[in-house]
Amino acid sequence: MGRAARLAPACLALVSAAGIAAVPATAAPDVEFHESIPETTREGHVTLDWKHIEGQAFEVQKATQADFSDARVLLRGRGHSLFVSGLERGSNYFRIRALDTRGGDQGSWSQTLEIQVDYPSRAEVIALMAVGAAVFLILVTAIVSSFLRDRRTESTESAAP
Amino acid sequence: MTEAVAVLDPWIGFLLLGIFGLAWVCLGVWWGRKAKDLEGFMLAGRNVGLALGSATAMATWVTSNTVMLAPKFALQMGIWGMLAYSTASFGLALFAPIAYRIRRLMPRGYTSGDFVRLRYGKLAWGLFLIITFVYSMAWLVSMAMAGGKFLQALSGIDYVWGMSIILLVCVLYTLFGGLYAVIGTDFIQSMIILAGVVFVGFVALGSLDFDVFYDRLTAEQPTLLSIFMPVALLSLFNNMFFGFGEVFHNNVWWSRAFAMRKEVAPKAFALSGLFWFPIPIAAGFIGLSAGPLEIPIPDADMVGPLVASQLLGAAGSVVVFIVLFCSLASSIDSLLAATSDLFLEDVYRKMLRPSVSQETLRRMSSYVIVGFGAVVWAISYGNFGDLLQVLFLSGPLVGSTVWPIVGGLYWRRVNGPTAVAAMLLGSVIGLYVYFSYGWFVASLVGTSVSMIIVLAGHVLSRSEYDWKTLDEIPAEGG
Repeated sequence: MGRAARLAPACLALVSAAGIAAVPATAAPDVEFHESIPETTREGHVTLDWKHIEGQAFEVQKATQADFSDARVLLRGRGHSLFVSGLERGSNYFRIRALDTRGGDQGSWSQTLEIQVDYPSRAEVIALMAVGAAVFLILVTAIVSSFLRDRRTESTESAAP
Repeated sequence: MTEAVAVLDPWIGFLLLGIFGLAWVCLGVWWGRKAKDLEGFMLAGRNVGLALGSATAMATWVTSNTVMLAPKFALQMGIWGMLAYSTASFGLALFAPIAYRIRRLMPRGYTSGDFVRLRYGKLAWGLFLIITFVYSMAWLVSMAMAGGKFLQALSGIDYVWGMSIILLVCVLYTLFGGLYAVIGTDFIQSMIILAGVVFVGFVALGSLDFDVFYDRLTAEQPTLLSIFMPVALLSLFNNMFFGFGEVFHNNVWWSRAFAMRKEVAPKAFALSGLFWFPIPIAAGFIGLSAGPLEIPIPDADMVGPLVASQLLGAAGSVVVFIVLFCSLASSIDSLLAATSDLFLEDVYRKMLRPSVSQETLRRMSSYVIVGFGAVVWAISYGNFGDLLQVLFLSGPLVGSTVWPIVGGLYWRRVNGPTAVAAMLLGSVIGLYVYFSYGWFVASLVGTSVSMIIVLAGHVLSRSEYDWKTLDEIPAEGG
């Protein structure tokens, strides 16, 4: 290993230490989702909210794996709530962290929020839709047939001497 | 909330509110001169033609809820959500034959309450009035709240200011002009709404890359495109029956049926349903674009204005602002007029002072319109809950009125006890399902329970109603 190569890690460590010393430790505060967020939903959407900190940017991620191996960024910006829809059936995981003022990633991740999506079952949906279709057809038939009968009656009445 | 920045300056918002607000009030005063008596004020002389009739029905049905909730439906439930919202147009179209029957049976009728009182008796009438006032207040409050939120998102005008100005303008011109003003302004507003929706549609189509749109949605929110999105599929029928209930029972639509010429009413309602159908699909598409365009949505109620303003920029946002203000005004005025008529005719005159003079009634109508406006303002001031919850809570109540109205109009053997049982059990069971299972089946269940009771009453009852009873001769005072 050459001299330059041996020195490199030491130099990097020095640069890193200087960088850390230059950024205030409070630049990216810890943040957690509010506890009032429901843990289950039948509708496949949820509003995430967290503490409002004026001017603070946050990153919110979503995943279907608990280790966030398939994480997707939902928000990188300011705010204190986010509406998320189109969730998959089963477990959906969310986490949030504050970003420092330069947009870096120094904030630590919140505790993972697990939201269980429990859509109505296929059998329930089909049964309820069948009820809906039956009520609709009976209603339309009742109104249209009565209307036609009404028109015939009126024509007969107006034709009578 | 994610810190969305309003596209328009508040002063532009106030300027637009001022211009259009003044125009509606002036038109209200001008048209109001035609209302020489109470019948003119309440029913526009019963002589409304096809163009005005279709326009007023369509404009009234394009509410701030259409502009705000249709995108929300699409954002929450995808393609099926968009279609579910559009099924509300079936209510208007199916009211066409009903309007014909109403005009045939009640050529001198005033309100939907008159029908229920004469057809089913006082108990059913009382229950019906409770249902319709609860629904009307929920509709008015959800519209006032939607207006305040929309103006805030688009122009940064404070929620309370925006909501208050909109309500004030609508109260003022309804106060001066009655149904003449409502129908006249509705015609102009419907033309602006249609032109605005076409404009927004073309601009949105031009600025979106559909391949990217589809790929992103498929990759990141596939459930929104799913053919089997459970809640959306259930809300398809739920929304349809809610729409039937809203239109079939509410005095907003009955007063229009009474106001139109007999041969005009069915055509006008059928046409307005046809014109209304694509509007929620166009508005819903905007909501569906939020994910693919990577626009973070802090509150689902705000998705429409947020995406529209990002998509269209400042100039487009002015158009959206005007369309929204027109859709708000055209619905709030109609509901204010129809609900105050119902209160005046059914509660004040029929229950409290049967011998009241026309002059007193006309004066009372002003107090009632102002009173309703004040109550709606007070409830909306808090900006509580979400719009969907506010509106859909009344779904099972109005769903339970569908069959008593239809059965009562066409079948002699449906009687008062049957109607009371249908409305009561439909409402109670529907509300129970709302809280225990979900809003997305509550109206469906309320309507279904009501249907079973009405059909059973129709088959089992021995009573035969005399249709002539419905043609009530108005009292001297009225």
